[in-house]
Amino acid sequence: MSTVAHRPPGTKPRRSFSRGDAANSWINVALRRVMRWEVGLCLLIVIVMAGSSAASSNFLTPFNLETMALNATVLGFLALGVAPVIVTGDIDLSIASTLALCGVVMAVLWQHGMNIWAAAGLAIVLGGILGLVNGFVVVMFELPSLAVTLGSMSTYTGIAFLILQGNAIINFPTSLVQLGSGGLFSSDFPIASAILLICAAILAFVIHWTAFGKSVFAIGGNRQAARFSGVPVARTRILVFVIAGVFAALAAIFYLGNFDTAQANMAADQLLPAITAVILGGVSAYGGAGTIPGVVLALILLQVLESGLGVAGLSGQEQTISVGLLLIIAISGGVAINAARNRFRRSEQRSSIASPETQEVSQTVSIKSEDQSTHEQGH
Amino acid sequence: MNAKLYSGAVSVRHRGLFTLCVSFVVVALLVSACGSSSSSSSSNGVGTATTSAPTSTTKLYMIPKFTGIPPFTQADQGAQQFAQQFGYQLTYGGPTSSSATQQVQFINNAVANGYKGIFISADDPAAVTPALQRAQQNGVTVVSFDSDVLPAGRSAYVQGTSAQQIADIQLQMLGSQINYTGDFVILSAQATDSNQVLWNNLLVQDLKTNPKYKNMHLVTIINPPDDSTPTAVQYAQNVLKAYPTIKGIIAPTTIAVAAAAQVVQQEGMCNKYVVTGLGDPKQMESYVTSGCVKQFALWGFSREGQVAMCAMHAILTHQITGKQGDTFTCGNLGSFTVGASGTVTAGPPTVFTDSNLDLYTF
Amino acid sequence: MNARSVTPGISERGRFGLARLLRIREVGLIAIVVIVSVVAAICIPAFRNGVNLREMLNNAAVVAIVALGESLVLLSRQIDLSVGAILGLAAFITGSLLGQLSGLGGVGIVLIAILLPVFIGVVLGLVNGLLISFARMPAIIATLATLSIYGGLQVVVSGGSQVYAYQVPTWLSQLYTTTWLGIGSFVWIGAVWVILFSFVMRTLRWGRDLYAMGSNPEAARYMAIPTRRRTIEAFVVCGALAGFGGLLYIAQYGNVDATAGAGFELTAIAAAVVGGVSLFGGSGSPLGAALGSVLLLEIENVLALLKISIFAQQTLQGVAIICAVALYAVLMRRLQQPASRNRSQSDNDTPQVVKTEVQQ
Repeated sequence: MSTVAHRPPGTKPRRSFSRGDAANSWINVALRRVMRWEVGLCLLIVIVMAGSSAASSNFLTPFNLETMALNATVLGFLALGVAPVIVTGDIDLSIASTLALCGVVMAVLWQHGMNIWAAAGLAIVLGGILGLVNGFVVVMFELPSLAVTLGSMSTYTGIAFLILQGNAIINFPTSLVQLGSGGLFSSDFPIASAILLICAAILAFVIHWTAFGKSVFAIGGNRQAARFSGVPVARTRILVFVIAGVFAALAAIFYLGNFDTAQANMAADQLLPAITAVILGGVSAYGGAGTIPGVVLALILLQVLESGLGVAGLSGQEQTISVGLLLIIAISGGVAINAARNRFRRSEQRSSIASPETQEVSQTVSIKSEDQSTHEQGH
Repeated sequence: MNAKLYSGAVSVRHRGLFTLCVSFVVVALLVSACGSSSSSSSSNGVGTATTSAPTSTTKLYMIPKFTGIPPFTQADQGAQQFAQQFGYQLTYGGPTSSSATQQVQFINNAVANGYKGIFISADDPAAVTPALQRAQQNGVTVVSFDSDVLPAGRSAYVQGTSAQQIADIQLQMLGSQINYTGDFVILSAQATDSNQVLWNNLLVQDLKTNPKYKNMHLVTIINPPDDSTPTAVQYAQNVLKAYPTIKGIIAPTTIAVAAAAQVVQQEGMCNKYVVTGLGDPKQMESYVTSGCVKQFALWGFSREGQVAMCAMHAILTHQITGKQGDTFTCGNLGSFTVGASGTVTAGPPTVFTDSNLDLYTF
Repeated sequence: MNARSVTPGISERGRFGLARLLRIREVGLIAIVVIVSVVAAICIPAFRNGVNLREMLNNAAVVAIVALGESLVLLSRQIDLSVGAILGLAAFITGSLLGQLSGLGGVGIVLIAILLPVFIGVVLGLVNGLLISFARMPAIIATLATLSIYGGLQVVVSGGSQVYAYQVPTWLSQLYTTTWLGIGSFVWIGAVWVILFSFVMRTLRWGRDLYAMGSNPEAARYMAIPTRRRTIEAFVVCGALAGFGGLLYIAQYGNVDATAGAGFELTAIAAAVVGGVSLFGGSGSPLGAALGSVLLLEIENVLALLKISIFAQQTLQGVAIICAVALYAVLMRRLQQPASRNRSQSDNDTPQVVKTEVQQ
């Protein structure tokens, strides 16, 4: 099949912003692959926000927006950290426990006289180590990550309890609380959200514009092929676990700043929401596809939805059910649309005449559907 | 190789749309957030730090630890009775499982929606306090019940019965059945449950200081990793096997006491082990009627809700501020005095035996 | 692709290797269980206690039944995170119905008590299966979503109340302590299920289809295995077993509230994984899942009897899971290595390479 369009006479050449091979570059392919997903998320966010504002005038208020942003910070760091892991085809169930253990260690160190920021730094290092342990066991022993992180989840929580028992450490220094719940430059926009967005931007850069990031996608797409292509599979897989651990530690820091308390079982309930956010953000459960901006959008969508449902008066159980339904509708809807496009594209390919319109339409096929149908593995 | 790699104008158009969407969302958020940086009180209808007198459409919100279990449903029902009397609108809602993050969401929603008062039983006392303080700054009155928060986060705390009474009554119930002699174990809840920690500490104090209990010895306190029934049953079974020489079990949670009773009854060891603690009459009914459990105690969750509503009403109408010494009345329940650190005790514990199981129509 | 390579656990060495491998797979696990039991029995007097063994095995039986269902799903390279919620929902609905029908007696009630939770499990499992087969959702996402939905439904259905122990019919509440020939009733019930499904998975076409789908989904499709239908059926059976577990839940605990079953799915998956059910699909067995349950609960029992601090228990259980999985994987790899020199080291690669070429 030729990649050069035969232009019927009288039509103007289409301008392309990508130059030659850049069209086939990883980033462009990746962007095209999931761009439709992000658009869908944006639309959903707009719809939900519009609906919620219509349902209640109290939705689009500075107070509500600020508290929504704050409450999503911990979840945001967890989701961002675990997203690369899922892209490589693994999963990390221990992120909430890593958060708890890092938070506990940080709190205990501070309680024993260490400067809070030094303790925070150590917590980040600890997060990296805990992630390293996960990655090492999964990669070196070639074990399923679900099983290993299931075990490390219990282990890390257990250690957190061993350290802190049932006690709680409270009243952290004002500087930490300010970081966790204060506003940026005395506005209402939370510092925590600003830092979250910055970290997301950095992570997005690393994942989408560096060789390391390309390795991550390559491994998720086809591990064997990646290995044959010279991608350092083992090292990359371990590194994403380390990233997950570091982000969990960051989440712990912001947890302490926002909630001003450390307990051994803190944020235990944030694991499944984090994974939900990552999947909703367009990261394929089989690995190999997804974007960081997508995860950020999904986080916004989830938070806006929960707040909107709450503002509209739905009870806790109705909200839980709604989030589950949203996940089903979004994912199966996305799959259905892709399947439809595939069928359309295939029927179009059979016609040999390439008019500009049909070529355009045939190019709108999302690549993600193909990759999804070729991936059948579980975690 | 095939059409999918052919980029072209399509990507431009969709890239633009994508950027547009993201920008819209981000800008909208920024504008709204930074829009009124003057003060947090603006057109959202939530007042500033001064509370206004409640009108007939004053809305109150009750946030349990989690929905779906009887004690909190009963507290809600009790509060509703007096809410109707006072002309308030009470909404009940909370997470479906223990989660501080979600409770904070509910607190924020209540504040954003113009609720004037929040009742809360905290999943994590310290973790929800900052959010409650924010609520108070926005003119919302907070009354905690069942599981307190840090004092800075609420005006008053209503407890079903006093911690000291809880400790006393449990020791008394156990002691009277084992002739005040022997070892026993406390089967408690999660180690992070502040109520449990407080009650157990007081019980240990009691044990040490009261000469009546000098021949009773507490072997250990068991803290299961979660508050579910299967876990409680598993740990109850473990207790009996690891400490076969004990005379009884004190279980200060409704889950744990029912679990311990279930285990002891199933194994036919009712004559060997005394089970007592804080139990829900309906949950314990089958164990009491079979004679396995002789006594247990509880207080009325309904009553707790009623008193909490009265306290909220008293604060909202500026009769009291919640400081020690304040008094308020609560219909036919009588008058109540606020104790140390804003704590109100709703009543004494009730000891249930097989003769008064249906005392409270829970 | 011939039929031999999709038969469970076959090595390329041929029939003799097959027999050895199949036997070794479970024998190893049985050996571990026996060793732990013997050591515990010798060192810890309380372990030998009849009541302790009965309780531990009864508890293991409940986990085993749900893990059994989960293993069917795992074998076909899927996963079901909603089994805990299914169990809880089935337990609650059945419990409240039994409470209201307490007047009636006899066989009718027993039939209802057994069939209703299974039926509820079937329906809920069917939803899972349809979402995964027809809506083409990845199993982990679909069951994550249904976990939320079923959990929310538990609260809605309970209406803030619960099922109380006194509402449970006596014959059911006594089931937990009933022993037949000295062995707890739950164990007998569990054994029946394990034997039934071991037979199904090894002998019946249905079982071999699941193994095929788990080993190599594309190839299974080319072999005209009705993968969509099998997937739905696997989830239906998984749900049915989880529902049945709900019945045992009522028998064991009496009081059933809206939080029943929460977190149980992770226990079931851990038990299956410890029992050698591969999360990559295609290997493992119902018997393995059952043995994994026994092993898990044995470890928990031993730790409790040693009076190790509860926090240390939790840590050690996590470490135990990792060790068990690692041990199993290392063992299996060592046994398969001579025959699989040409096979790739990591899993599920070959199918992908074939597929992408074909698709394009």
